[in-house]
Amino acid sequence: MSAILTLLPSIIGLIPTLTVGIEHLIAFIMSVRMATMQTKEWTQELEDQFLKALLDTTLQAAYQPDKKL
Amino acid sequence: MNPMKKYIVFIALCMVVLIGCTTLQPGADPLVVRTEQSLTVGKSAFDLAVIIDHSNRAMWRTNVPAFHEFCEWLRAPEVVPDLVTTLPRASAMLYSLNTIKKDYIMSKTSSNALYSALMTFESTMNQANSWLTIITNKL
Repeated sequence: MSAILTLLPSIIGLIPTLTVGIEHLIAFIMSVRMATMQTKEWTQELEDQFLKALLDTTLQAAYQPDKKL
Repeated sequence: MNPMKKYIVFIALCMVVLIGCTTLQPGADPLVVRTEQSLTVGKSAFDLAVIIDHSNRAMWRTNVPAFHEFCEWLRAPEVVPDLVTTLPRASAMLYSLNTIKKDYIMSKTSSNALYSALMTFESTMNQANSWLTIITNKL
């Protein structure tokens, strides 16, 4: 019982990491699904969404190099 | 591999395999569609890699330095000729491939140029996917 209580803070600390990973793993799987279901070229709307997502990466913390943090 | 990981991998494989590759609509250019499929998957693979690394950079830097270095390589700012700003290398590669695709659609470049760019991009994407396989087995 005491061993579980000792490990509890570490387990709780891992929860945000696991949540982040699983959420994006699902997003990755969904993107593979979307790609396999694609039957024609992107519409202009999809193209614009894709380019906007690329430009947005400059503002995302995950895309900042160590030197900038 | 623990039972939970086996379960997740099984579901992921089912989703991909059972759906399969659908047939292209008449008139759709297979090279353009293949490029767009790679752009979609590549964006998510790069996102997943850098987000997992960002969730605990100190831990990855210490325990899997090669993975952290790969993510730092993806994050390095690169000048994109069409834009006034720099983009992280991952986004710059995606942007460049998309630009070559658009040039090919407008007949400004050959299919060979697009195919070469696609193969180069896919080698980086495969590297990201390999890292994702390695690190998810280390967790």
